[in-house]
Amino acid sequence: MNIIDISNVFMTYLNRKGDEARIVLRDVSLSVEENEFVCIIGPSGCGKTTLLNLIAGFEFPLRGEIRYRNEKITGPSSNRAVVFQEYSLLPWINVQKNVEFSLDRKRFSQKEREQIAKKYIDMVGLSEFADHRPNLLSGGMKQRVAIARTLAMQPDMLLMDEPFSSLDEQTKKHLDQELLNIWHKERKTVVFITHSIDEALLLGTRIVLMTASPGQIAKEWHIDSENRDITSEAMIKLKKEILGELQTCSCAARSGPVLIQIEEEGNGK
Amino acid sequence: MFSSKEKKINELIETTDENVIKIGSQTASSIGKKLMIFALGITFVIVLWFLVALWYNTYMAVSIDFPDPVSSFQRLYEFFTTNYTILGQSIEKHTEASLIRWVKGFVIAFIIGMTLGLVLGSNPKLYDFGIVPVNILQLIPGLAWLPVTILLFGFGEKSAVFIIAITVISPIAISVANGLRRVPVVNMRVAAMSGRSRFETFTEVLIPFAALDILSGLRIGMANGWRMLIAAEMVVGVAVGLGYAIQITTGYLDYVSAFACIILICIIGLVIDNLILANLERYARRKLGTEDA
Repeated sequence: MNIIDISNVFMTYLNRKGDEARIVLRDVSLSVEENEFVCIIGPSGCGKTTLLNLIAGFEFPLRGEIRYRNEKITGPSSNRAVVFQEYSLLPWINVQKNVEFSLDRKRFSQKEREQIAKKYIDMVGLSEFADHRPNLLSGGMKQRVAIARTLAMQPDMLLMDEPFSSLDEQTKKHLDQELLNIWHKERKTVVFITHSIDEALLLGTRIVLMTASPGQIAKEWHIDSENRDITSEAMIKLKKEILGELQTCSCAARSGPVLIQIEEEGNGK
Repeated sequence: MFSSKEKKINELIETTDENVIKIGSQTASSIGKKLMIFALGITFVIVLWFLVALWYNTYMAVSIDFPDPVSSFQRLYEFFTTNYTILGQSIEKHTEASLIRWVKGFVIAFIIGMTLGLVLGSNPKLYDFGIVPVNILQLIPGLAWLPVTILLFGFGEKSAVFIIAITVISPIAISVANGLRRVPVVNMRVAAMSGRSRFETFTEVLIPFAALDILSGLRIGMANGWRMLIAAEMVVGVAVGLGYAIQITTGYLDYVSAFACIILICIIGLVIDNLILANLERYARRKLGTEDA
């Protein structure tokens, strides 16, 4: 069963002056099945984050429709929880309270909230830092808290917007692995945005490639996640293929004139 | 150079096997150091004053001396220990009258400024329109309200309070509104997706994020109000108050008493700002996690 149905979505943003509308999504259609781990890749500025914001219900499409379990999305919901690209913790409360913040106070008592928060802080390996404020944590730790907070909400699906892109390579790899373990344990549907093909190959059961602005879906690949070996020949071949596709679709973008300008400068010298 | 705290950590690091070193709260010596630097600053001002007085009295004085720190502080001491009066009122009465006026003006401005700031800050559409009158308000110097307040309230108490209130409203309203507008979108989105109500989002996300801006607005407002009060008392015809006392003593060429009143104004301002507001702000900073606790 499809958990998300995006059909023929158009989206534009106005520029600062308000006299131009840039098309960020042009006729995008995509469906996400239950328990899938969909990785969306594409050149920067191709509307990946916009697409995620639409699924989350933070923004609404100009045209077209987005349905969650066959119901039109009318706003944010705890069923579709987001892990943001930027740090999103509240700086004045500790890790424990930050995770508790996401829990419904009508549904859970204070004690239950404490226990749920503890469980997920433990899951991301930060029990020792439960009473620390975010300003004492490293970037990777902050994102782990954000993941714990999101998981604690017991969402139907996780929406992740390049959650590890600001972290160093080693931390990023570590957290990718952790996320994969959590996904195997909890079997949540995940939509994961990244600009790293390696990350997509490591995590996704499906990889969706978007073209540069205006964003359109260019191609999709399915990956057998059960016996995944990213060093296998098939994977390396796939990576090459995706890389090639990514290059063709980036060059077709409107960044064309910028490239020409650079060449002219080179010739002038 | 190491601070005393770093020295202590340096000593303890040799003997501990734990990853966390317990150092206890701030040591007495570092508080003493801060106080000493503060005292040094004050001494500098007094020495400067002394030199100016000395220079004036040696080269410029014709009939009246420029009051030096010693005679001024002496007069201030006499104000409180003898039954010295300025136009029939003791210094306590003048001080009390000024303080009450200031509190009245500030409370009125606080209520109006806060409301304005909260409404404008949480409503982007209203902000563009509503910030215009607030900015205009800020551009008019306090004493320029004299014709308005005389028309509205006549000479006296009410006019002084009005002038204070009208000058304090805009800094409070502007900083509250700006504080609310600076709250990161991502934190609002977290609140929205975890199902926090509008009220909860307001009290648990918006207000804490804006707290420092709000506090600094209050601090600026209080200082502006205090300065304005003294000036207002000189012109709107109140019969008691520190500003009035300065004006009257100057009129009687009793400059020493005028200087003593100025010292008192400084002391009150310093106590309120340094002891109360600065500490409140430091506390908020620590509480909000913008400073390592």
